[in-house]
Amino acid sequence: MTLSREVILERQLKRAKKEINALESIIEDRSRSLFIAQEELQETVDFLTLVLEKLETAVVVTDLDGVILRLNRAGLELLGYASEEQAVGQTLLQHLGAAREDTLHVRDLVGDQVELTVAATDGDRHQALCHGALLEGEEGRTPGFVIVATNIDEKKQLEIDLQHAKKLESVGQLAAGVAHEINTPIQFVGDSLAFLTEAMEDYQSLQDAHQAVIKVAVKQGIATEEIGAIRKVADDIDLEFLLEEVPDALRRAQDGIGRVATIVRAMKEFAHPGTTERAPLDINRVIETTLTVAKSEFKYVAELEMDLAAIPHVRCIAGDLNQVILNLAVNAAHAVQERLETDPAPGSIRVVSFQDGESVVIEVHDNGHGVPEELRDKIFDPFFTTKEVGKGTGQGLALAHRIVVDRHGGELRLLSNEQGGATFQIRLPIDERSQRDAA
Amino acid sequence: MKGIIFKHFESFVVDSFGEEVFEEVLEATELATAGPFVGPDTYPDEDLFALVGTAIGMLDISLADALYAFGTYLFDRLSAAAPMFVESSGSLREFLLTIHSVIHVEVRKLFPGAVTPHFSYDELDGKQLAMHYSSPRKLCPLVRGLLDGAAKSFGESIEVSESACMHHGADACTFVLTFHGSVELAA
Repeated sequence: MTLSREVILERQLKRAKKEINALESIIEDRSRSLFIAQEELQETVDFLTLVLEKLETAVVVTDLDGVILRLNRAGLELLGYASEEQAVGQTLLQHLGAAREDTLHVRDLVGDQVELTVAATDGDRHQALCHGALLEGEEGRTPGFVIVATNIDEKKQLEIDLQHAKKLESVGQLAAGVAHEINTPIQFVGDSLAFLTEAMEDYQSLQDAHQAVIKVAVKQGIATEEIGAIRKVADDIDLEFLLEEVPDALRRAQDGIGRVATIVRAMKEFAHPGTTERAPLDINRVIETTLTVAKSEFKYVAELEMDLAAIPHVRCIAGDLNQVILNLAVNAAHAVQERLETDPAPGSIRVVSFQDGESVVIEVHDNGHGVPEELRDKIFDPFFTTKEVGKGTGQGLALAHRIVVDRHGGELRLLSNEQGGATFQIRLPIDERSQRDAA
Repeated sequence: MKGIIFKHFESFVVDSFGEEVFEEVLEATELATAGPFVGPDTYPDEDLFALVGTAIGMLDISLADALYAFGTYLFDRLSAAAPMFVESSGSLREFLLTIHSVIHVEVRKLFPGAVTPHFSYDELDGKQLAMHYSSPRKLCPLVRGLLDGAAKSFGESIEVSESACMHHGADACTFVLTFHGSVELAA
């Protein structure tokens, strides 16, 4: 059978029409599927974007040279950028590896986690645990790296606090042990001195009686030789001087041993503040105890003056507050000592307490070298110190600030004073609720 | 089987033997599919086998020869439709090694529901490659045609021997390819 050209064309046309209809239907189906797939894809993209934005871990994508291509919110915060536009195009390495001697490349972050110091654009420095992975240049993507960085500032701070606390604990234990050992001999030395004082008074009575007898004997002219021998012995031992000075010496010894006993009691109290829980605390007693313990820090550089008003008890952790007062007192003593190197005016440290509305206020004033204006916003930063190497760790004021502000809901501020030195003011809320919120 | 293969088969018959022959083959074949064949749709394998069966009966050629000839023709059509797979390979050997892991993966993405054959490889040495083909369709002559079509496209000379065949009880057809370099060098 031979098909005519017309028949062939007619069949082809018929099939073509059917094919067009079938293709239209397929296109419609595919378009619908594509739309649904796009919607699902968008949902997935939105979800992943949300997850990335909510993450507290920085995720930064760079090219092979470490130039930032993308980053999430935590990345912006860690590196100190206000927006992604500001960050894109910058080099990640300009932020990483501060305080490292070797040259760091982004590829060095692939593999094990590395702890690095991150320098943010605003000058802040953070400790971060960084880990990277290579992004292959598949499907038209620019090859590069994805770097994940977790800010571990808080963890590091806790480690430092813990280390500091351990150190203090061991010093405290040592002090408590020494105080305990000294306490008993101090007591019997004190008791013996009291006994000797009383005995001396009795002996003085006996001596008066002896003198009366001698006077009678001399008047009657009897036992002249024996009285002469007694007088010779009295002259030899300078009895008159002894009778005058021994009671004074015993009084001074009692005063001294009384002071030692006070210091030992304060050390025991300081080392074992009783509890790590919040409890109503006599702030003035804490101040007195702490300043007794810290006396050696300032007694050669400054006169201490205490002006403690009647104030209500405040719920505090005793050990914490001991620490704050100690840090501020030691700081004041060091400031005065440094000032004395160039200015001989007498040093003075004044500690006051008073109630101001709903707060109890403690102020530590010194006439040291003061704090320059440009350093005032840094003094509570961890590791910040103006002291010479080996003298300060830069932890004292930072720790005091954390204790007052974070743990007790109070305020710790630096004020200027008329003497040109520094005044640190602590405000502790009397209201228990404010403290609970802080805790 | 995807409609695109049916369409290429139609073009192959029309280009090789004329429109009239294809119309006659179509008219003489009893198909399970009522409508026309369109590229993205899927049709029973039996329809293609029926069309091929009618054609070889009409033209008095063997099935193996017909499938081989269609294979060489098909490679040109497929590579023209998706040149990037050929262009991204520096040599025939390199190209053949991407069939299973790259090309068929993309085919299944582009044509959902496509059932692609399975290929595995043994790289015997720098000059020889064993390709193991398995498919329930058992279209080894078509594969051979495709291999020669690919060699022609790359301008390379190859020698193909089938050391095992599913039609003779093997689990897979094994083609041992010996590469002789470019056609000019081989000559």
